[in-house]
Amino acid sequence: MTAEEQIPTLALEGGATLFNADHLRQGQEEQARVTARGIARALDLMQVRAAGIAPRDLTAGVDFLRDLDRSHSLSWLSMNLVDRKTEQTVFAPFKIVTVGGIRIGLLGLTDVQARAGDRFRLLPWEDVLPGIVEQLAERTDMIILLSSYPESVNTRIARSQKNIHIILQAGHRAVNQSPKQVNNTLLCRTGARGKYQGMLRISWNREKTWGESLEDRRKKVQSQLDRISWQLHRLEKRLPREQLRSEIRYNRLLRQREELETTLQGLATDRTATSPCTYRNRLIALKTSLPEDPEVGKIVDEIRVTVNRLNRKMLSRSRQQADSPLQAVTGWRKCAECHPEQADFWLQTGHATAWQTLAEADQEFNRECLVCHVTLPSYKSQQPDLTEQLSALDRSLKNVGCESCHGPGREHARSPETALMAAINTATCLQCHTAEHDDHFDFREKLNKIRCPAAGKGGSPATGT
Amino acid sequence: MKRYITIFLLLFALVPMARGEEFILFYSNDLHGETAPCG
Repeated sequence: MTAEEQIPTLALEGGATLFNADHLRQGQEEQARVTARGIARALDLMQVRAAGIAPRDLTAGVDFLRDLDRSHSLSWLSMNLVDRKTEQTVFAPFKIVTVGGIRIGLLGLTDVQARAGDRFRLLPWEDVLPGIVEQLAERTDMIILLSSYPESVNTRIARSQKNIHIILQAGHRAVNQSPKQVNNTLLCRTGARGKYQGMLRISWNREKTWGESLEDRRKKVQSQLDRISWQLHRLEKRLPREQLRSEIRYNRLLRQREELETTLQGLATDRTATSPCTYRNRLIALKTSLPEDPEVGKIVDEIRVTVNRLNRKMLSRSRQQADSPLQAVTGWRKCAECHPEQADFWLQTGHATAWQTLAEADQEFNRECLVCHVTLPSYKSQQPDLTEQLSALDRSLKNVGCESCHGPGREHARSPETALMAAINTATCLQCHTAEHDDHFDFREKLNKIRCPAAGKGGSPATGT
Repeated sequence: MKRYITIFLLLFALVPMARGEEFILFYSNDLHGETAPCG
């Protein structure tokens, strides 16, 4: 076991954990709930002690989250989500845990913008937070706040509450951010969708004050001293000695050097100074190449199988509608009649087997995945939700065919000279190759692999940028 | 004997905090219902 592996750990979720939208999409409600329940089980397995409640965690309703809270050891925390009638908090406002001898108070704060439903309401942080912090400051060594308020509010909280030592932020702009210190509070945040894990290695003591270690302070002062010495040296080389004596800047630098040397001597001999509390932060990229935990893997597989089964039942009852935009789509076999060389090339690419890869993973009825694994041109620009009809697609459309990139082909098949197909650009690909699903997508590189050969007499799919 | 044990236990509890305790905090946020990436 390495030295780091012997150090006690605490795992927390800032919030905005369970759902990817503020509303459950029609037809996807049960899929979203199944996924949320699976995530809660996985968090328990990973020994996550607490999670903040952000607006998106209430997407399936307060009662749904309350059931999850009761049936798992992970605690969902919010000090300001209350029942309208009783004014009591619906979830635990805080939890105290002991980690390696340190008593840590974990607090939850939900953004007042959250939609809590008619039976509940959200109290502003000013009305609840100060009292709870005052209470906990005496009972704990450290306080960590899980807040889904925007950073501007978290900064105000940090300025007014010196006894909150860390704020884990959720919701809003979820990008990786190194801890930002505001007074005695570290504001922390990772990027979204589980791509990064933050890791703070903390050294904590009774001072309860973040600061630099003695060694870090010495290094900083030494660095400043080196810089000033260099500036003095440059002036001494440039100016004659007589002029230096009256040079204001030179004298100022001499005084600064003297002060820094005194400070450095003091730091070198100081044995009485108490060490401040320190931290080291890392943001760990959770690449797909990392080994998976088999138990968590089982939960993810169960989610997938259940979602697929749910959707199979629903989608098997749907039929393609007469006025559906899908009517304008012909399928690759029609394209192959005039563009056989291009069709042969396309058959060798990953696009041709895109639907099969879903079926092999038991996900061919997963509505979230299906839309990017079938021939469905310009999906994002279409208003109606076509996922209901996707199971009724002809086999020739169960792939990412020509029309996925070049647009619907029915009119072009009728009038090839006048009804031209669309050119491809980055936006075409990024509809599906989003950062969440393909974080190594490089348009130029991929276009070179997927670009069909230029056609002769049969015409050519436009591949300009 | 009881007094010695009490003092010993008190010291044992106090000394680690006086020296400084270390722990590692793992944190993340905004999972947004993601279970596994595509591909």
